[in-house]
This record gives sequence, C-alpha cells and structure tokens, in this order.
Amino acid sequence: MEIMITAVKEKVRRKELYIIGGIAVLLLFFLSSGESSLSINGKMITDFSMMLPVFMTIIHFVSCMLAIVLSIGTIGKEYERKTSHLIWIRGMSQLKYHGQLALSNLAVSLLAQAVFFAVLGIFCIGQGQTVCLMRIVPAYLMVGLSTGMISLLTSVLSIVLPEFAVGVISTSVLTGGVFHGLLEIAAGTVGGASGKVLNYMLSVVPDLNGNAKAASDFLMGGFLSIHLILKGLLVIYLISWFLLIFKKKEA
Amino acid sequence: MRGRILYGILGVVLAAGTVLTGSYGLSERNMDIYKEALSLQKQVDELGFDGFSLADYKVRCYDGSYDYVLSISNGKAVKEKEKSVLQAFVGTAYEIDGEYQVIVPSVERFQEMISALRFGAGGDLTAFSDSEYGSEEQVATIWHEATHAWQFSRYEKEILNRVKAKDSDSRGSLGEVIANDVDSNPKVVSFYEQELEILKKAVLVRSIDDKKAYVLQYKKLEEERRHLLSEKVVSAEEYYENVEGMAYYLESKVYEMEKGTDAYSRQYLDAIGTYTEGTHKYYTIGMAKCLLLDALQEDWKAGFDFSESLSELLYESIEQ
Repeated sequence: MEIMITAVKEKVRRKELYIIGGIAVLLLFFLSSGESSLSINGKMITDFSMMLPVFMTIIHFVSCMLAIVLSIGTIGKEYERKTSHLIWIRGMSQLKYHGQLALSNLAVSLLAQAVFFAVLGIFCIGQGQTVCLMRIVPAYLMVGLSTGMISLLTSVLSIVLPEFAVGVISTSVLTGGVFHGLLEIAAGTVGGASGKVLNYMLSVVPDLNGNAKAASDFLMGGFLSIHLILKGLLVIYLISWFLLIFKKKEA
Repeated sequence: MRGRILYGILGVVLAAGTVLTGSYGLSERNMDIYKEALSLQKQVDELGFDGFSLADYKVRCYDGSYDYVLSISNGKAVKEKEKSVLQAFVGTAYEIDGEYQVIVPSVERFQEMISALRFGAGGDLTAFSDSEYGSEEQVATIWHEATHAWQFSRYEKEILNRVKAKDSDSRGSLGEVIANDVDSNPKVVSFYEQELEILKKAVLVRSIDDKKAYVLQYKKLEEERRHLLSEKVVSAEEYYENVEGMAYYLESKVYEMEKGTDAYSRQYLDAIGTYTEGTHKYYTIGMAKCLLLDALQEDWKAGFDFSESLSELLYESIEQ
C-alpha cells in the first residue's frame, strides 16, 4: 500500500485538488445565492425537492469528469519518469504496481467527490433539510460507485493506451453513462434499426445516471436499491480484471 | 493463487447477487395501475360516453424490449408478453389485427422519459412534462389513449372525413400544418391569446348566463381568426380539438378522480389561458369546450358522432 499512499500524497500536493476546492466553493456560492435560477419549460425551480436532483446530477457529472482528469496520467507518467524500474528491482508484480496506482487514483477521485458532497451538505443545512444530512454518507457512496467505475476504467486503459485515446474513451463512456436514460428513451422513440443499434451500444455502457438518481431519491427519503449497488460493484470488479490482463511491455 | 481464487468467488457472488436482485419483465406496479384504471369504469360511465368500456381494449405496456399485453380474460386481468409492435416509447391507440389497442410505455419508462426530457423539449410530450409522473398519472394516460381507441373503433370514417390536410391519416403532417400556418403567424397567435383568456373565464365562471356570454365572445374571435386560415388548417385544428381535446377531457376527469379537485385544477384548468406552440394547445381548448358543453348541454355526449365539431356543438348549445 506504500505506493498507493505515496501516489495519493503526491496528488494532494499538486494543484488539482486546489482547483477542485475552488470549483466546490464556486458551486456553494452558486447554490446558495439567488443566482442558481433553474427552470423547466420556462417555470422556475425553487422547491428543494426539484433542485436536489439537478444539483446531484451536476455533482455526479463533475465528480466523474474529475475522476478522468485525476486518473488519466498517473500510470503513464510513472513509466515516462522511469520510476517503474525502481519497482521491478524490488520484484513487485505489474498487477500489484498498477493496482496500487489505480487505487490511488480512486482514493483521490473519491476525496474530490467528498469535497462536493461537503458543499452539498452545507447547502442542505442552509435549506433546513437535516434529514438529507443524515443520509448524505450512503448517497455519497452511491455516487462513489460511478466515480469508482470511471476512475478505474481510466486507470486500466492508461496502461495500454496513450492519454488522448484514454480521455476520449473514458469521456465517451461517461457521457453515455450519464445520459443513459435519455439515450434509451431516444432509442425507444426512434425505434427500428437505429434504435436497436443504439440499444446495443448502451448495453455495454453502465447506467451512471441511475446511481445519481438513486442517491438523490435516497436523500429525499427513498430507499437505496441493492440491485444498483451490486451492479455497480460488479462493473468495478469486472473492470479490475483488466489490471491483470493489460501489461506494459517495458516491464 | 489463493487470492485470485477468492477474488474469482467474489465476482461470482456479485454476479449472482446482481441477477437475483434484479427485476425482469413488467413490474407488478403496471398491472396494479391497469386494475386501478379498470376500477374507475363506473365513474367514467357517469360522464356519459356511449358504450365506452376500458375492458374492451387491450393495453400494451412497452418496457423497451417487449409489449406486455394487459387484458381481461374470464373476468380477471391477465398479462401476456409479446413482441413489440411499435418498438417505441409512445402513447397511442393503434390498430392491430383489426382491433384498436392502447399502447403506452410502462410507468417506469414514462417516469424516465419525463425526467430525461424535463429540461428541454418536453412541451408536446404530455401534460405531465413538468410535474411528477406516478401511478395516478399513468391511469389517466391509459384512459386518454383508450378514448382514442374508442373514437377510432366507432367513428374513424366520420373523424377522417372532416380532415382536409394533405395526408389525412398522418397526424405528423397535421402537426406540420399547425407549425407552419398557425404558430408562425403572429396575427393568428394574437387572436389565440385573446381567445384563450376568454375561454378560461368561461370555464371558471359559475353563472350559466356569464358562460354563454363568454362563449359568444369566443365565437366571434374564433371566426375572425379562422378567416386568416385556410380550410385545411381549420380542419386540422378541429381534428385535434375533437379527437385529442375529448381524450384530454376524459384524462382530466380521471385525474380528478385519482388526485382530487385541487390537483386537477392546477394540472388542467390553470393551463387553459396559456398559448403554447404545437398541437398541445388543442388538447386544452378541446377539453375546455367539453367542460363548457357539460355545463350548457348536459347530454351532449349522447349521439355525438364526430360529424360536427365541438365548436359547432358548443355554439348550438348557446342558441338554445
């Protein structure tokens, strides 16, 4: 776990988390001031129960985007700097090395997400929604499934692909996952062959939006779906197997 | 090695748990909604539609993969899985094997649609685009589409005879006619805004004499507006008012049965005075005319066979 802890400390020292902190402060200002005027079909949303899903969607998307940003260069840079040779000397396997680096990416991504959820918690307090506050940790973990999936996917892809390709693939999966419901509706509305093609593509993209929706429903007093939790963990588990399959030639 | 075996077992456990906790096929909630819709038959009968029974029409719930056909067999509500007819998330009445059937998305899919389209183009999707969509709303939707099944099963010829648009059996082209000739004409829009304001007053006022006075004002404005439009456009408008307006009226009444008068007023009556682009305004206008007919000519539904428009019937009622 030494490598993981070192990698996390390095990321925390660097500027990304301060940028995240800055974004979080801006988000808090945006949420709590009168500037956060959202509307649906021309009608302003002011009710907390309608604002919360919107904010959860934003936090979910930003957290996953940041997971890509924080995870994309970690493994590649280790090889660029040739620090990987110091690892092979010690007889550590690629699986263990890449696994710890991937875990560090995951940890930092979840830390970034925690900053946003702290902002959300402050917003809930400001709105007098203490019930939401009591439920914020499980909701955080629910969204953490999406963040974990995207972070881990980015990490494993970065073992074998250049940064640009990893960015494109991860962002495409994120976009497909966040808009999964909308794309399913589009596939169903269009119908026919186009609809079928879209459905097949969607079948390989996890429904990330489902996690965000489950989290906001839970915050509003609903129940968490065991099925969604297990499904999220299963996806993370399946992605993790690529840490074993993908290897760097330099090693 | 032991670690990998344990990790493999973890995967099997996760996979098994995911499969076992998933729900497949049509949820029981949709069957409950169908039964709830059927249970309202007696109250719907009191509205006066001749020979209209929900149980006469199969209801196909599309979940994205299959149609689940809900119907009554030997007095019991049953469900059968079939290959999807339209493979699309639409609410409609569609002719299948010589009979009209109701097609709706499953309630879960409808909720996803509402949620997904909430921030954009949901205008013409449904009356519920910017409110919560639940079981009661799905009951109302089923009755709306069943109204179409009833209309076209009985009065298809009469309905289509009155339509003089280019492709008389294509609702899509009628929609284009509205967009091109109505919504893009500022003079027509201006007339509509005045008409809708008067229409809302007519619906909400209690006095019958005041209602008649407002209807007379509305009639004058409508006639002036229609001088600006071709016969094709007027017939397209009347089609939507008659067919969709009547279905919307029944939907609103079912909604009131399910959710009470306050919710019904907020959802349906408040919107009467507002002009919207597209065809949805005719749903509201047609519904308003049905409500006015309820007040001015109680038995208007008996014998209404779509050979005349709701407007014509309404204006006849104030002359009596």
